[in-house]
Amino acid sequence: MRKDVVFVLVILVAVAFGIYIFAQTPAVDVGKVRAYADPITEKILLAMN
Amino acid sequence: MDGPVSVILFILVFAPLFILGFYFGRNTPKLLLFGGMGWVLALILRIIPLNLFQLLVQDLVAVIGYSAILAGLFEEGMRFWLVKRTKTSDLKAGLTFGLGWGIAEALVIYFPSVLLSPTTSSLGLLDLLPGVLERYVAVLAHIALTFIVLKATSYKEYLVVAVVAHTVLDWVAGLAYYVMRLPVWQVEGLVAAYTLFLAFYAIYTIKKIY
Repeated sequence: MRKDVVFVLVILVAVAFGIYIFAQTPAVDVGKVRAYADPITEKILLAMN
Repeated sequence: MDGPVSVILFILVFAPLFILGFYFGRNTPKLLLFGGMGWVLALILRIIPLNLFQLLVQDLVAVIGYSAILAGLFEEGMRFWLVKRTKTSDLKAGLTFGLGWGIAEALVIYFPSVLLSPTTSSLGLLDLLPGVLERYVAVLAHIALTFIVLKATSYKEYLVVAVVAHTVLDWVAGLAYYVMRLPVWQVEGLVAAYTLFLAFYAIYTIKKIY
């Protein structure tokens, strides 16, 4: 298989998998900022508001 | 429905598409028509498996994934078949074919939604502009995918690229909007960035032929 085909397929699968992982991560909405809910980020964002 | 807003939206979406369609397809209107027909046929062919799955499975992520895979398989399969049948071979012909595909999709999806939307009147032009951007991006994506499929007529592995690229496009848009619930401008920005990547890749692949 051609190199560019392998390269682009790897990127596309990575994008698909990456967004899936991102979408599955529980999220908190703090004002207009959407942060992904690790406790530290959440605390920082809550403090900022 | 707010008349003037709808008229502006129609002009914003369809005027550039029709002008480009007329310019590139003036000598080959058949390619515009075949492109448009391809989108409609691919939709008709997958309506039953699409709806059956949605009746049986309630999980949103699974439905988005399945719909994206069906769109990739049916649309790119149909595009490949039609590109071969119509003997589309050069860049201009590919562009015309992709434009026809995008125009048909805009006519079927966008036209009725603006015409019939009860919320148009309560939304301003700025709220509705993401839909205009979405159509431009969709047409660009169809042109890029047509170029990749053109390459697939010589090297079959590019058909796999086209199917996967289309599937991932729909997957990203579906997850970003329905699961992650990102604001619409962010969803369109994400889809536009992905489509630009696809367009650059399509130019790279097609440059090797012409």
